Amino acid sequence: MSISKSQVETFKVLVNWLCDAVREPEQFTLSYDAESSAFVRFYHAKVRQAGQVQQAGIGLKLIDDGRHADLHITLSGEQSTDLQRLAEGLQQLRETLPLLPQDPYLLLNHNGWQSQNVQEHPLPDTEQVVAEIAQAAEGLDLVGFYAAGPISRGFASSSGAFGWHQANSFNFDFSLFHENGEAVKASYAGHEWSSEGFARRFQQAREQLELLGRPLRTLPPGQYRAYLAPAALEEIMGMLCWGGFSAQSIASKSSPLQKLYAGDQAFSPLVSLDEKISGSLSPAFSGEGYPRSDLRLIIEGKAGEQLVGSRSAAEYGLAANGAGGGESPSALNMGAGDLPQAEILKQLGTGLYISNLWYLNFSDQPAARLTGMTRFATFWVENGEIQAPVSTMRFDDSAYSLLGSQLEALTAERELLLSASTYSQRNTSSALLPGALVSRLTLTL
Amino acid sequence: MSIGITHVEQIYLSSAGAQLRQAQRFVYPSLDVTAYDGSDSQTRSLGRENFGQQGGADVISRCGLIGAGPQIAGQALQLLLAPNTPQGPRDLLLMPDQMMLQIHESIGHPLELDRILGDERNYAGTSFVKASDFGSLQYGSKLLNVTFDPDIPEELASYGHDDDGTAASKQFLIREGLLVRPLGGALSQFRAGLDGVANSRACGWNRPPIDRMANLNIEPGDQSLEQLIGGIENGILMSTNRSWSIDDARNKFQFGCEWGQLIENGELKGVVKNPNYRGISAHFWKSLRAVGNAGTTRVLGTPNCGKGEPNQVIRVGHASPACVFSNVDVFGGDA
Repeated sequence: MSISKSQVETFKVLVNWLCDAVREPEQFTLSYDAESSAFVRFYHAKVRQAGQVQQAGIGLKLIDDGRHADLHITLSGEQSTDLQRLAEGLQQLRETLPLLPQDPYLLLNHNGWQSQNVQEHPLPDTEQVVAEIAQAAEGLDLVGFYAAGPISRGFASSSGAFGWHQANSFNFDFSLFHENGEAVKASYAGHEWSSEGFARRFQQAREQLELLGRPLRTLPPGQYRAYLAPAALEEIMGMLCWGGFSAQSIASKSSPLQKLYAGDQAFSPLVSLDEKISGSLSPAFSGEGYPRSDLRLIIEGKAGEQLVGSRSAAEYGLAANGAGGGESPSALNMGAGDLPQAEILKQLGTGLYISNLWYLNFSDQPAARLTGMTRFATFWVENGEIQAPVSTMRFDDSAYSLLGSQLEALTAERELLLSASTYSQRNTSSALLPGALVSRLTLTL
Repeated sequence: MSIGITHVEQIYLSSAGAQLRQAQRFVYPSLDVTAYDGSDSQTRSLGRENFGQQGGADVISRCGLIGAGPQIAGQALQLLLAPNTPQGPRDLLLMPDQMMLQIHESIGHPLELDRILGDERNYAGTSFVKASDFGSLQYGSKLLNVTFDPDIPEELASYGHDDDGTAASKQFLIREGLLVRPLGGALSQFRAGLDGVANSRACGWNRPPIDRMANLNIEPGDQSLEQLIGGIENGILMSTNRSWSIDDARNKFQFGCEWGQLIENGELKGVVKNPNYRGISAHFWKSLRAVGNAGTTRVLGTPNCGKGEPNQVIRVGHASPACVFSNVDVFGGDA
């Protein structure tokens, strides 16, 4: 289940062929995505579905006289077949370009930058992982999903730019269900599988599961003190990242953070948020052909930099900083606070301990007002002690309240959360986040 | 504004000798306008991505895209000037471009048999519906008739067979409010011991087929739009989904729309912005008290239904008339 070491060479063959095939004044960009993934789905602590997916594709953009057209090509792994597909794709784009108008917002990067990042940590054998999971979960109702294997991303252009990113990773995302239907969610993810590390993570989840066996408490709608664990805070940050920092969204007034960027609203000075690509799982270059920069998005509660893709740069006169087409962060890094992990329950006193949130959306997007559900381990705490699990509740509150006027503290410890998303391909985004203690969270249903 | 066109060709072969070929073209028209007054902004669209259908240029004609710009822009400006939606219980008239979301989230997903069996507990969630509820649970009022219908040519998930090779045919899932059949393909039917439908679908070659919604429709009733409005004393019309959130058992929901218009004593009144409403699926459909006729029905859908581990996003269709619900908790925004 490894991507061949010659993968980068395969990509170079395609790039070299293309360099020879394009005719002045044609230009091209070529992006590359590949992965070899083991997928194992668990149900009642047994393997429900297992599969192995090997996929590779390229995105070809042909540019001529201010016109451009794109084509995605699935690769077969056979060099002659793939070169033939590339040749046919090039011809198709050549025939398409004259039919298109010039694009006023086309902004090409003419720098011949070079970037290479290869992380070849050895991955465990899938059978060994399955055996460890089955052993740990014996007698438990575990539902989960294991995804692992190498991921490759590449980029090249007719200007001589070349980027290559390759990393091995695994992500075991799982839930333990109590017989009363309550559940705790956890994950164990990274580059190097450690049997001890997995056993420790599993034990933590198991201990929370015990607490879920207590009689369920149903709360009336109202306002409550609450602690949002890093995984819960990630859901809120995820919503704010949905166009929030996008230069296009900010300029077109569809960003949920437009009041922040207009200076009409602010978060607490405790809140500082970076997009920190360096050292993350994400490639250091965009599919558009720009090296990606570390960015300070929120600085002590105030608006900082924006994510600027090349089209936004051209349309709004900004400098492109390597954002992808959607201009969303992929390596969030939020500053820590000073609340020690061991003091969370004591500082919370009486209120809600929320491990996870679920299915958030906007009640009023320009006001950054959010709604969503509690899911998995949510507990009622009294005088610093967990009393009971809480039945599923809906919240509806403004981000400017939760992370602003009502934010009491952020934890000193932060948790690195790796995306478990596998839509189309395994996601490489991550978030390093603290937990947040808020003095008021509004529950509505 | 954008128009997306997708061609899909699929060949199904089995060792039993099956050879099935399907070739389909999907068209997704989209138009939206955002108006901004220096503080608030309001977006009005032509149904977001939900006007997609199978077909060609006919899809563009049917959805009303041509010439829609001035009207959409005018409505965005009206919303900017409008007051917030008032808070409190009201009768709720949902137009088809919101009904499709209501059907999707609070009928479609809860009736997926793999969710009911527990496969999705780690990701998409469970269901408030139990396997033992089929044939006995009164899901909605007597006016509620819900079908799995793969035979409407222009609807997004019309097909001859699913990805297990099972022939697809129209089936009632809810008849006169009574829950009768789940959304489950051959494997889930075998596991649960229930009859289902041909809805085992994969998003592509690199993902396995699982139980998915396909075309999930509400059958028309007998009232015109004028009659629906005329029957409301204190209510609100909501149109075009813009926000959706529901719990993992698909019960407690909160949805928001782009366009709201108050209804008083049987007449449409002023426009209101940020119209939201919330409820509980298990009770909400019982408050269905009027169903529009075929003249109020629109064939809609979404290309973006996510589910499964590994994750899959797939297209689904929802045809619905306008519908009226009694005494729903509605509210506005902050701005």
